[in-house]
Amino acid sequence: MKLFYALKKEFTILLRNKSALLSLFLMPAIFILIMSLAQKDIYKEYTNAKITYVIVNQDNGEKSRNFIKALKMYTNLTFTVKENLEEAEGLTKAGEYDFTMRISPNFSQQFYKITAKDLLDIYMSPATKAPVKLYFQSKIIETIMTLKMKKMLNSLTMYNDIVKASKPNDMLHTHYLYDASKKTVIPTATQQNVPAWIVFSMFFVIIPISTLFIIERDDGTLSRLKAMNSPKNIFLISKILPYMLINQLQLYTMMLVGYFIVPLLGGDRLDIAIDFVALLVISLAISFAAIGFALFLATRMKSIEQASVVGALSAVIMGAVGGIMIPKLVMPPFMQDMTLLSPMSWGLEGMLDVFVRKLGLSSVLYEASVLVIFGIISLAMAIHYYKSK
Amino acid sequence: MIKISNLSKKYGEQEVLKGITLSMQKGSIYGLLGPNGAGKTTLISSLVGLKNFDAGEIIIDGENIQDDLEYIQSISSLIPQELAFYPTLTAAENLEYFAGMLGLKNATLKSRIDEVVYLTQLSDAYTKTAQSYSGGLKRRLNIAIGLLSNPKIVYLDEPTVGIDPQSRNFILESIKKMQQDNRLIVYTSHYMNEVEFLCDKIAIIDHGNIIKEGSLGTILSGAKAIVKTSHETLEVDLHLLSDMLQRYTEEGTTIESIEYGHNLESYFLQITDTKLRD
Repeated sequence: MKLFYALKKEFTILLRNKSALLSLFLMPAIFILIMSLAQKDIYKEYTNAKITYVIVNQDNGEKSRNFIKALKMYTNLTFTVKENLEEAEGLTKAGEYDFTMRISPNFSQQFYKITAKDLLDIYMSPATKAPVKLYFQSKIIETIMTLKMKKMLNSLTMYNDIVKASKPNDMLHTHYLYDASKKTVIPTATQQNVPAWIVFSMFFVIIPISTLFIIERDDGTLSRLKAMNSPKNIFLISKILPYMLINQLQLYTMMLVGYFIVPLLGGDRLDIAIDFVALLVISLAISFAAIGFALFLATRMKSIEQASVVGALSAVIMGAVGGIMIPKLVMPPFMQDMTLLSPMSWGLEGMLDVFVRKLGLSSVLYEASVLVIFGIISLAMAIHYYKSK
Repeated sequence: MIKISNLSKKYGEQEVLKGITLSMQKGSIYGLLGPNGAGKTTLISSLVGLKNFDAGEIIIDGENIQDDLEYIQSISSLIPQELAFYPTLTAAENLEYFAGMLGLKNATLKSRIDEVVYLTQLSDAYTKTAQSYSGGLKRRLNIAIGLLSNPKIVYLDEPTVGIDPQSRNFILESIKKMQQDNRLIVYTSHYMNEVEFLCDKIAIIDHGNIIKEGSLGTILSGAKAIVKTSHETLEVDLHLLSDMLQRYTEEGTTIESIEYGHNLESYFLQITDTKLRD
């Protein structure tokens, strides 16, 4: 019964703390929406990217015409020919086209020469994403190389048919590796962002837990409970259980945001064909780590203001180091090693196992164990510091 | 009821309790006076098991605190100076939580809550969140929580700080009522008139020592006050003053003025000196 009253009190206080609820539910939902939409193209397969561009042909020789004709083989790259370079640049700058390509006047004359240079200029908006630019450049180079190879091989009649039959794009394919039993899904920005921001928001329980603990300590409530011989384990469990439940609510709320709301705004729908047992295990482990850390922090902080600032700051730093804000893959090697120091990184890896790699329970046990150990150490330190005061 | 012998406590090199010996009887109100930092809070914290002491002995209701703290905590209640409850909860929710933590349940829980709500007159504010209460109402809720366990000993640490005269009067009267149930009330305050009004016995503590202990009469022996009413002027022994004032109030006699030759406050300042204690 004592536990019932303790849990009831914690829930009531939390539900009346509007700023805590905003930071636990609204903030991650907004992050998921913004990041899933903003990063939508980062995870796209650019072999299918639709790119529009303007060609300004200042050469008009046979070779430039052949070059333009060859570019038509890419059906996802559509172009318009314009006479005036300034007009074409204006259209690109205004965002109507992704690129402007100028073919220089000496293109036909220089094209097959070993010394050929400065034949093409590509103009784009500063906002053009690097992967889109690289993809477009690669297609232009591929076209040039194809034309040159054809010219060279045309003289060798015996290989003609072989060259005609082979298309570079058919020779190379990229594949994502999944558990064989699961269906193959291309990872989308939503699929990457939902688990990342779930982990981040779960750690935000640091703020309400530590501030309430400090209030209880400073206003004498803890002393009163201690003088009443109230069991310490009940007090501790009453701090852990409600926030574990809150974390589960966060998890499923964010999944609903990814499943229903992100697609409404034009983003990719979250794929929820995942192992829910693995999800439960890793999410409970993240909760335990976050709550343990919150209690540790609460025992070390002197005031509510200090706990709020340090709590938020430590969550943001753990998020940045842990690969929540910047994907681990784009970090230099030493930074990738540093992510191991952040419990959020372990949580994120476990979540990515479930949401992106589509793995099962056995795959998340390692990350879950690390998080539980982190939680136990944090709790032990919290109890030690609390008792020493 | 409480027997303290040679109690000592150090914080690092600083000795905050220096061999204190005291005894307190049930059914009485015991005033503990002293400037800030005198050792009052440390003494009370030791009596309720919040702080360990270095030497000495505490016997409460026949039990040594070091042998049976659980029993001693079950018959004691600390009502701290701080408002030790949850401001975003209502009085009902606060009382239910603390009653639950005491192990009360069902009908017992409900009847105890009803009793303390009646005693502290909280019913009008029962369902409002505590943060919306006046200072006096907050103090009453603080006291109500402390009475939930129906304790034999109540430690009241400055329960009237920052409240209006009406609320103060109500609280002081409530404390008198608590005493009638044969409880021991240990009362600390900086308001000397409250101590004079309430306490049967007083200890003045300073620098970790008891510098004076006894009834108000003993402490102020020989001290007089001149009371002027609408029809007489009397010289009254100070320790009899509160009884006399109560009698006048009951009779409806108007008191025009009271002049103190020597009262508790002046005596307190005289023996603890007038230097600031921060």
